[in-house]
Amino acid sequence: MTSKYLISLPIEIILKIAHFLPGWDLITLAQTSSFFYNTFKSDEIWAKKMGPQKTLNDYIEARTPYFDRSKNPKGSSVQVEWDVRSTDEFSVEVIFACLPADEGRPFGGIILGAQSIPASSNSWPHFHRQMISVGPNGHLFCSATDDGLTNVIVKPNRWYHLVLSFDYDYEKVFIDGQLVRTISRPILDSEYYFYEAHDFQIGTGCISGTDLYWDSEIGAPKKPSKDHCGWYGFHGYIDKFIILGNKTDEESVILMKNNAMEYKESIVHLHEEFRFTGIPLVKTTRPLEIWL
Amino acid sequence: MVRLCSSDNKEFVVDNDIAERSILIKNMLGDLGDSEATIPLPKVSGAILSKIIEYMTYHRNDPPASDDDTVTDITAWDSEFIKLDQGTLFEIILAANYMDIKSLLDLGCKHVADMIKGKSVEELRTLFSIENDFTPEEEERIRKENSWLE
Repeated sequence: MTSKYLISLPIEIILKIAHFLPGWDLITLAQTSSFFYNTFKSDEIWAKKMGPQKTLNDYIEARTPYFDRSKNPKGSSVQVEWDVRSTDEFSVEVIFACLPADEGRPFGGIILGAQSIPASSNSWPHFHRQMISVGPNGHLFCSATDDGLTNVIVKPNRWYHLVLSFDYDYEKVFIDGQLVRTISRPILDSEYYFYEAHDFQIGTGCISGTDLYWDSEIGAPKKPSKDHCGWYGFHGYIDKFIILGNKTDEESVILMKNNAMEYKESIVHLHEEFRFTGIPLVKTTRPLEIWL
Repeated sequence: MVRLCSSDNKEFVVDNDIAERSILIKNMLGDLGDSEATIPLPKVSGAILSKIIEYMTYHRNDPPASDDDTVTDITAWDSEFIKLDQGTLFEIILAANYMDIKSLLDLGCKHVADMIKGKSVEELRTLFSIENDFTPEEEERIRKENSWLE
């Protein structure tokens, strides 16, 4: 059993290699010969990379919003209209990837923040909270009720699928379909969320005060520096952002992760619509692919 | 101990737990029910079988591979192990597929994918000796179809 050439490997092995390749590299390989061109036209390959019913054309057209903090620590953001007071339960679904830290840009940032004034204002937001954020060392924080430290360490250049599900029995955080944090009988901080921190946005948020985890044994800083007091814009890609007016069960989380969920009604649904928000769109791998 | 016989009649004696990293061998041992039997592997040469035994020995205590397509991080040892010339790499992949060693098959395929990533069409043709069998017209049409990549 010998095979000197890639082209002479059995088709099931060629398809396995294709599975490990980002789509654009697959498209490049497809241009080398008629064998690869015809093999990689298969809808099955692209559905695996994009989700059910998706095709090569969907892959070609897909773009991802790029949240850039290079020029301004506030970064770029998209305001979302969300009145958290109007619901007893909700879910937030986000697909994001962090870019590596570089000079002047610490890792991570606030993915969903809320303040007493809009992020576009130049005034100081006296009330501010961070519902979803990634600290400078990669620690994921996600909660509507407390600091939200999870045991997830976010790596650069990798997609993460996150679901935060809240009702008055449980607050749950799922990463890539796995439950990573549960709080029983969560209590929304009424002062901040219900009355003061009512301006929500994706891609940035404000953080100040004592960082509980900076000097702790856990060593999971939430702020870019110990004395930081201000905006902590997100540095990376947010491919999908959805707020639902209901909690989400485990089964639905898996459907969401596999891009197979049929959303009945959403409060905020930024996916395709990201293109209308003024955030630059770039070519990336798709979240269902293995590597960014 | 299990006796494995390669396509070129080279024999290797290995512990059962090592040999059973291969689902093919595990099933054959189950069917034979004879611990003294020699397992013939007519599609694997001695040189390749020796490399595969090296891999199975290092991973003898790993948990069984899952059926899903997720990939765990590649260890430094695996990364060194899979640095092979192209011909040997393809033979290892074929043997892993035949012997049903999922983790090794994944490692080999992932390594080939890494070799492909970021290369141009011409670089890939050279690297893998791929013959360009498109007509000039076809090639121009395909290039235009994929101009979004540039």
